[in-house]
Amino acid sequence: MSKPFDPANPPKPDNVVITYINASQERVWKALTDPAEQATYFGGKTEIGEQGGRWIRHATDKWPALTGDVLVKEKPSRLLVTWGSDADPPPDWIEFLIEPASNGTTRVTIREYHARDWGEDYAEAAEQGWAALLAGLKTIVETGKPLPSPF
Amino acid sequence: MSADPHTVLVIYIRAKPAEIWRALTTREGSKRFFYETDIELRVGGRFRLLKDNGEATVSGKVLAIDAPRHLRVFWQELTDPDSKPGEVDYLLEPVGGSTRLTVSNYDDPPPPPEYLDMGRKGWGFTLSSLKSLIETGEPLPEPTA
Repeated sequence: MSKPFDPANPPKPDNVVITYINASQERVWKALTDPAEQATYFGGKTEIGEQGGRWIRHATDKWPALTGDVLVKEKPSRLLVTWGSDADPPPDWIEFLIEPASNGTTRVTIREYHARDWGEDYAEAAEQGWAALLAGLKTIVETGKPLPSPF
Repeated sequence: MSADPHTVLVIYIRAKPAEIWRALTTREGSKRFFYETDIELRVGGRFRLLKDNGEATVSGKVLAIDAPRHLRVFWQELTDPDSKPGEVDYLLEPVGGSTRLTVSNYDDPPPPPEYLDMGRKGWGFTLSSLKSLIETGEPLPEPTA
């Protein structure tokens, strides 16, 4: 992606992962953004600042710390962040959309916009990582118990 | 058939592969979250998805099977006369206390972008409902038009 990313007019995403959850938008937003609840199913603690601020995922014994910018934070429907390592820019963009779907369910969509060509192996690992996040989010919201981490 | 899938769906479910396999391949299991599935579990065997009135909406056959880990079927939509046959591949892998289910769609040529978006949402809903069924005992509420 050569031109700057425009949050109001995003390009075609490089990867899309979708899940449907039997809960309200507000409930899903809380499970996604509340550091204590997210830590129960996604390992480590992630704190998301206000729009225009930063987010940080604290290091765990398995994963290094990650951080990025919070470009859009519109509770309870949209979160857009940069995603990468300060040591190895440019970062990618990750968008979370939380939308009402049929009969009280909520659709969560993760869209990845790559700042560079990462290659096939990365694409597969990223797909599995985001799918694991959404699966963990769905399980905690629907059953109250965390999904065992697949990683 | 083209070597690469045009759509890959991944979901993690808190269950053993065999439990998910039963939901995918038995009539009683499949109709709770998707179409009732009529399948002969052998290579070359029959594969059909049935609507509530018993009519088939998809017809095909089993191309590869290794219960409860792998299933690949030939897939022909019957309701859309323009629909070309494709293949759908199901892979179930135990990973750290849950199972990773990967569903890959092969069509040659791949469908146009608007169909890909619809397909991703449709499969997303179906697999989400399967996960709800297995983890909570109930599928997702049916979408209303």
